[in-house]
Amino acid sequence: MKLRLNRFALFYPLRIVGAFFIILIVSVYSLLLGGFTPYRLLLIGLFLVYPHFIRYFAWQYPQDRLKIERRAFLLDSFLLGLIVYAIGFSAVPTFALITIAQVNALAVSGFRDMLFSIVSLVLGIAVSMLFGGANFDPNNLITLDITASVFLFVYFTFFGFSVYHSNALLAQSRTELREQKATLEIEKRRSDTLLLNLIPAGIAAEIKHAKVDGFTLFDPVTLVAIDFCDFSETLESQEPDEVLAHLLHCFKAFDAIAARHGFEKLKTLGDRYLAVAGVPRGREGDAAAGVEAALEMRQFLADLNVSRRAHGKFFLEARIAVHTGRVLGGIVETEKVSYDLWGDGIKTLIRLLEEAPVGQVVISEATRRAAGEEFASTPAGSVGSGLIFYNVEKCAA
Amino acid sequence: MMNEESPSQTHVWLRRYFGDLPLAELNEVAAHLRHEEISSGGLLYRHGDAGDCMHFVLTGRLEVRLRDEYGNALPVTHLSGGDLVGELSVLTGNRRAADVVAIRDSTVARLDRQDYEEIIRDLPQVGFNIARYALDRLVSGTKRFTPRVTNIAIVPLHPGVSPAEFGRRLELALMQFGKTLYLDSQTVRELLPRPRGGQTDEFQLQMVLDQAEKTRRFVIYQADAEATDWTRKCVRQADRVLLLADETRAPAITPIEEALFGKSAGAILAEKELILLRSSRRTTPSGTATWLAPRQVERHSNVALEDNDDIARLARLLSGNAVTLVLGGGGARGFAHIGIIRAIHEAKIPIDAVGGTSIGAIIGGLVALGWDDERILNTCKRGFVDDRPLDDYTFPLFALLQGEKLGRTIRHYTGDVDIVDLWLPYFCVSTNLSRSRLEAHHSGTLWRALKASATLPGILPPVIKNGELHVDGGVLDNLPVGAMKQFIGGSTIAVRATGTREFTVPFDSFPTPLQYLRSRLSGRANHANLPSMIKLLVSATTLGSFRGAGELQDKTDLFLQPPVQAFDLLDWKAIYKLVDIGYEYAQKQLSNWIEANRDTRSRDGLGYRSFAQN
Repeated sequence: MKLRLNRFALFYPLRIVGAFFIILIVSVYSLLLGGFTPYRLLLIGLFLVYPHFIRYFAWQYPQDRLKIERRAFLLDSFLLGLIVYAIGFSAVPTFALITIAQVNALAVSGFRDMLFSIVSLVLGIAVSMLFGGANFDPNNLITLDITASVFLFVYFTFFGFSVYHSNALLAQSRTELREQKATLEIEKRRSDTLLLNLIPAGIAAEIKHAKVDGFTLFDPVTLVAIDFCDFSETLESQEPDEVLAHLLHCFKAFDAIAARHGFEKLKTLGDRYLAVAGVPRGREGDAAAGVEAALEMRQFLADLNVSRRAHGKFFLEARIAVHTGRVLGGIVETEKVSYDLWGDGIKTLIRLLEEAPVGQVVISEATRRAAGEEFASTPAGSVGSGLIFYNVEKCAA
Repeated sequence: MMNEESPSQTHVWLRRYFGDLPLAELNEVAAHLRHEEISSGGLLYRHGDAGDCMHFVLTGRLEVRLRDEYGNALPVTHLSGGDLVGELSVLTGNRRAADVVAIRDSTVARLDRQDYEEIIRDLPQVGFNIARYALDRLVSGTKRFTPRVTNIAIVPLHPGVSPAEFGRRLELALMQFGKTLYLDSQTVRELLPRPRGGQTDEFQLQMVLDQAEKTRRFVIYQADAEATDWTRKCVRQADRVLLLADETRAPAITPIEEALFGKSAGAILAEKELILLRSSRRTTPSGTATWLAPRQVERHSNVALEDNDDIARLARLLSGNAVTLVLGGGGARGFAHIGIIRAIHEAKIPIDAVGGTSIGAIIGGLVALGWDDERILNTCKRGFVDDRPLDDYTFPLFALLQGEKLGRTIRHYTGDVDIVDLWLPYFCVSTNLSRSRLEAHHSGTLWRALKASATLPGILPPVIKNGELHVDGGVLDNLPVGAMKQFIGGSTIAVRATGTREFTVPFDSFPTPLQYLRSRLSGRANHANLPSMIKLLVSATTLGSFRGAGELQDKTDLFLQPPVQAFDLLDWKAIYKLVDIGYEYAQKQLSNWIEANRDTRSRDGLGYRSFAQN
């Protein structure tokens, strides 16, 4: 049985069964003892209709279902009071009916309503007495007792099942709640991670705490860019999966090297990798760290290529550029949130990158001045009007 | 017998020790030097031997070890190409003061005493230089020396374990902490210069490897799948050997291990670590003990391959950047640990090892099982609050409680997992009554160890392990930071859940039962605030946490003491409040700590970074 029934689902069948048994009890009593008085016939007729009547009401006003059911239980008790009178207060049936009435009320609405239901029961008896006089005639009819006991048994079986059903519903809803929470948590974490991956962490932190509107000028920042040479050709001539796996491996290594030197990956664009330091705040030594990082990235590629050559695999060469300048940064407000940098700094960096000789690290004049004494730079060329750039190496210790 | 390849290099070194001599005289000195080779593990000097020669290190690496008062040899320094060793004994005539061991295949040049005396007869300034060098070394003193793991050898035990993939992933993880180089047999062959007449491949290889080691923080030596020469070289060069095992295979010793570490092979100085590769993190590992039994390994790790968390943890452990967590005991107050752990997770600080006492051991065990915060909280609530494991009162022959319910409860939630199966390195401490000492449990069934760690004497009967009696570790050490430092090292976060809750009692003596009844009935709550027997026992047994509080704080990198004094040691129902208190407290402390440690720039020339990320 699917556990998706609501909590009121069993009330209607329960009432029908109850009505059936009550009719049976009254009929047995009438058959064997008092005869079918009009009063008893009336009661039998009432009980034939009663459950459906309540059901009709509940169907009509589903939002007030709880209120209807609570009133219905009071009515149940009243009617049971009438029945108790009708069977002359015979011991076992009376006891069974009273028990059932009280337990019903308790199960649905608690102790307070159980009290009301007792009152209702007594009222039912009192009303009957008013119209029919005292009818205190208890009889120990075995058939009657058995019928009442069976009623009790069936009722409590139903009752026990209802309790089990409620518990199962509860456990199910608890599990669903937990799963919902877990899914929510995972979603939230995923969206957080996604956000943090698209935006440099320093900016993301600021965004979280204070709304960052518009664009900010950052001066100075140091930028490191790496461009793989002949990437498209390699992509054509080799297995694309392998080429991209190789690229990804290199990018991951660049992430680690950049992070160790205080840089953050800004973005990758195809086969280009960009990292930045100085966003949101620059630090002393950013330029030197940038050159350090660039040289280490070059070393990493050189080592990797030796290994790949040794294994007979294809390898990629790259050129690296480092520039220190000013940029404008901000969130690009589109469907996909992203953070980007614009300005002279980026423009110069890209031009340097495109002019750089393969396998070299080139730096701009600004970086050369900022990086300091530990690097030896030799002029390597110029771009356009007077933008000189240099090949750089670490000074021997 | 000098090699012709690098005469200039040797001359540079000779000049350092013998002074600025003209080339002819340097060659004269060099002629007295005798080439010697020592393979990894070989002993150059032994403490107490007669010292009649000195050595220049040409290639490889030597370790100098001093003996302490117990006879243990502790590493003092490392010597590599260009260093001089043994000159003190030659100068003073004393016996050797330390052991000198080769930890890589090394070549050295020996200068005997007679030759040395002959040289200084002709060139007396050489004697001054050597003496000055020896004095300098003595004066600079012995700094605290912790040997670093630089060379890591990866040996695959089973075919099909893709070592290259593991090695490359480890390379990426180690790159966060320093320059890393990945070498396998083909790559090394590519790096060797073409052999010239008279050169031994071995010497050139050693030079190349030395150069790699000098310019990198880590060098990964990827061994071949069989016991080839390169594989043996990897193992001899290594500071740590990682044995990669496939969990789906049989745990018996493999042929490659037999060849490398068996009786016929030489001594291996490096520590061996068994890496059990698991495919998924979803199931708790099992069977680790059967893998450890036939082997002699110093460490082991369970590594899930489906993501990089475990490999990253391995990298942190290898580079000395591990973050360890030590949780103290304290009854119900220990629930604050759960909140603190949640705060640590939210701050993205990794937890690489866990240790604890009593309730700290239990919660630490759940963390080491890899459970998430929600599951740990629910389990503790169900296990401690709903299941009421501390109420199986019994006739007090040995203790107030029978103790079965606690054990059954712990076992119900953690199962029969062994401590060595846990994802994180873990230990818990208990007090061994039979031997009167503190004992750390690094193996054995987890639930039994947890029960031993949490067994308050008098309240629960001692746990019997190997015929010895164990009770709550809190009796001797409620916050086992020392044990953790010995086990893993790294940065330690310690959480103490006991507080100094002072209470004074305005009576002279405890009441008799009748007096107690009378005072309770009369409404004057005079005797109501007296601690019950259980509270007294618990207080007495957790006193061990208050000793040495000052030195504890020195040893830990982050000392957390959540404000839980107001709560009773047995106030289990207050679990949610305690968790929240721990969480809020930790959030503040952690953000301060991260700020203070935020420098992520490389520190030395080889690049070094602490774990703390933003």
